[in-house]
Amino acid sequence: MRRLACAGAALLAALASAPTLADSASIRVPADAPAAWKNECSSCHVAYPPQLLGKSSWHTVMKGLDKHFGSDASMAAADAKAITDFLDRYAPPDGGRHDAANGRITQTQWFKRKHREIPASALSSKEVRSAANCQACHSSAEKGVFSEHQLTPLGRRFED
Amino acid sequence: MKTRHIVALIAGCTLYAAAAFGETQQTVLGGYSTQAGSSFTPSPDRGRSLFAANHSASADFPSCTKCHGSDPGASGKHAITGKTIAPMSARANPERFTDAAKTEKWFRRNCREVIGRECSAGEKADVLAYLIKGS
Repeated sequence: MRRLACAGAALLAALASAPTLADSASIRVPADAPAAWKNECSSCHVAYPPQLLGKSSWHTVMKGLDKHFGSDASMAAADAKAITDFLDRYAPPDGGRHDAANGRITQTQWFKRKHREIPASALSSKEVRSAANCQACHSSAEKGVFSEHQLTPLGRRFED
Repeated sequence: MKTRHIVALIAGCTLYAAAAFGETQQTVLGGYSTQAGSSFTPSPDRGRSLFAANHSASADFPSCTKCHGSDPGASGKHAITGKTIAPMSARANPERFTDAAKTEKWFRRNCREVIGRECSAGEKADVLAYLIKGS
């Protein structure tokens, strides 16, 4: 019995200390991000790091670039391949909290849980416009840092 | 004599660099003008009208100015994501239109989006004439 309790405690400790792939404090844009990723993915929105979305969900995004959430984001095949390879290297495996059948990061369990205290009206407010506008609240979003300790004044206001 | 040569060389190089830089925008604009036909002259005024006009292809993106703003010398804001877009005017943002492939890519995407079709070479030349010279 005692052994079982010890094993359980060890397991709990391990779970608590192991950083999840997309622990918001530990996300960083990987150093080997190709130029195409920076150029193509950061024109209309901040370039979302590969860790934010599951592998198959990214594939859904990359296959539908001509109708990318209402915009034409089609690109040269070589650029699309370099980006897909990069996403494949760092995307979390399918079946976790980063899956979104429609490819929307904001629909993942991970995103919803992280923003559960933020009212929907704040995310669609005039200042933010859309939950896709990470940098409205996250001051280091362009570096892939989404820590609650690095917020803009607006982000701090919503957190309170 | 020697000093004069060096001064001349530096002046020449500066001029060459300036010309090469300006020429890149001119080359991109010139490319579209040539495509539009030998009798075509780009018009900044027509470009301004097209840039400001409202179209019916998209409710989210009814005009170029919806995201880029009515003053090309100032920053714009993406209509959906809210991301800041650097000024379109070449005077305010000298990097603009110095890459033909990038210029063509954005005309292709945005004309389809806003007008609902690709722009003609003449329309692209007009808009560039406006953003390079007329804004």
